[in-house]
Amino acid sequence: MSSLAPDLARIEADRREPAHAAAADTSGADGPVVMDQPARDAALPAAAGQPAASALAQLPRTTSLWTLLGRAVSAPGLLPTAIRRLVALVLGVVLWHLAVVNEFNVIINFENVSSPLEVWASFQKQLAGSMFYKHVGVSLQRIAIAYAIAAVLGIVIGLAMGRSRIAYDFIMPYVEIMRPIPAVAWIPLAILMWPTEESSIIYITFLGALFPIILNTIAGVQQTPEVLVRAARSLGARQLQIFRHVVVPAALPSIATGLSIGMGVAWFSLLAGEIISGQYGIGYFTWTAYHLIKYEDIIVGMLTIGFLGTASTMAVTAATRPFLKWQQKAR
Amino acid sequence: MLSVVGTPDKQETKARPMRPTTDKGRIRIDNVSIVFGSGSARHVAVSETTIDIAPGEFVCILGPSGCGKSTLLNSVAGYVSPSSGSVTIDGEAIDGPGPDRGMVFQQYSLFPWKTVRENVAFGPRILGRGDPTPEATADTFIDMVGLTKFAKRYPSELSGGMQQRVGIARALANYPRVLLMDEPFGALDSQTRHVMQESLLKIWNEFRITVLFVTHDIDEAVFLGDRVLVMSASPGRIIADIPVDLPRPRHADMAVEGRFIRLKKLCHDKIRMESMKAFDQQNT
Repeated sequence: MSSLAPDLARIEADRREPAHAAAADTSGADGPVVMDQPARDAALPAAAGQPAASALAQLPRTTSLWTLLGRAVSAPGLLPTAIRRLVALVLGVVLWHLAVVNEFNVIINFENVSSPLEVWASFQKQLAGSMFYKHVGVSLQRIAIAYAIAAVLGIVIGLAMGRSRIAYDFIMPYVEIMRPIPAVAWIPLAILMWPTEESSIIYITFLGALFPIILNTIAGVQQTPEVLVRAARSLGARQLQIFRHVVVPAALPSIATGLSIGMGVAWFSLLAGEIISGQYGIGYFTWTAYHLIKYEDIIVGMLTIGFLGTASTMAVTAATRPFLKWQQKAR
Repeated sequence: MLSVVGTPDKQETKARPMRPTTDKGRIRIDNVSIVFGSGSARHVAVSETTIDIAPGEFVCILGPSGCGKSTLLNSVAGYVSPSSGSVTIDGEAIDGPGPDRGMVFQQYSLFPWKTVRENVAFGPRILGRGDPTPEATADTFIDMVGLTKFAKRYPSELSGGMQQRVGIARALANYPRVLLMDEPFGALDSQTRHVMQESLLKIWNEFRITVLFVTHDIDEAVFLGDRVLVMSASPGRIIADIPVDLPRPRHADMAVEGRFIRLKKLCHDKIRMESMKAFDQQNT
């Protein structure tokens, strides 16, 4: 139990701030920050973006745009939130543009960084061709396979470990030793162990997603309120029925958290695998862009990764939401 | 909430879901001791206690926190095995928790992921003993506790009092022989608690099921019970068995009558005497 304490503490933290925790989980890398930050932020503006635009259009024209903007940025509520975030993004892009145009070079160097306009032009060129879609498609396929296996295995192993002391004691040492090993460190051995490059990349991706799912599932099972188990027993439920009707539902919110953290880590691990080996994939695309001195494509690749990571994490959240209907009503 | 309770007459005319017989549900607690731990950590929670509860009787166990009253109740529920002595229901020894003993807990113990109807239907459904319509059974009991309008709600959408009402309906939906209640109204505010006590008595009046009710509230014990068993701590044992001869049906007005107050005083004196004794022992 004591060995689990740090894990539980971490998982507790994960629950409060899932996206942030995903970044912590893959320590030592900047990737997940790029990719998970939008994951947390995307949910609201995605929903609020459209009403924001139409509401603005309806306002009287006599009011200047700046007054409107100022009012929106300082007012509370969902609509200003969307506008504030949009303003923040626009500001960032403008600063980026200014830094590139003025060849900013204090400690960090913008001289070799492409400007937003160059990146945009290159992005459109990529969209017109077919290779870009191939890269994205291959990455998505790897994620789908690896994540599906990790989700099923992670939940099954987590449920078993949460319920059975023996399973817990047998599997936990492996989880503890393997979880801190970063995806990059797995690459040489994965290449040696697996028959194809493709399977080694999927394996690395799978491992990344697996551990957060296992740990969150365990935590979910272990925090099943004892009184509910007692209530079920007094109503005549047997072990299997208690498991199905009490333990699994009680663990669901935590499992859902594990699943969305797992998705973030899956992308991070996939990218590690793709950068070192493979001939397709968005990670491969990004890294080759560096070697081919197509610097604008580096940023196209990075932003694509950020977008795909965010979108897939949002998809996971949306997919788990129907199972947590009862919980959302509590808020 | 109040409007729900304010329709008792309507309930009277509804189809009665209950068993008419009251010959079942005799609880015998025979010379039961319950000891936790060993050595220096040894703690006698219940000491050589004998209680006989007749079918259909409403018995309250009254005592301060930590006196072992919940432990005693848990031995009837089957969560705790007596270290010595025996607990039987209608002569059958208790072997773990079971649907023949309905349990209502102090904490809200509804399944948060199930609606009110699913919670109440849970017992009938998993027992699967020829109840073709667990939902219909559930609806009958939900109606009995006056929550028909809330059948599709989740527990988190209900007030504390409503949740406990669902808890009672859920326990009764299995047609248990006895109803075990572990300070079920302890977490409620006092107004809600009084309303709940009255509606519990109404349900019991229709059902005439044996009730073992644990509380630390003297008013509650006297208001509800046919008998009040006063329990004292370390070791936990029954120090008084006070019959409550107040007429039924009981209502809130009785709480200011002389008889009620005399009974309260009797309980109070027993508890006081015991704590004085304990106090003296500690100081000598």
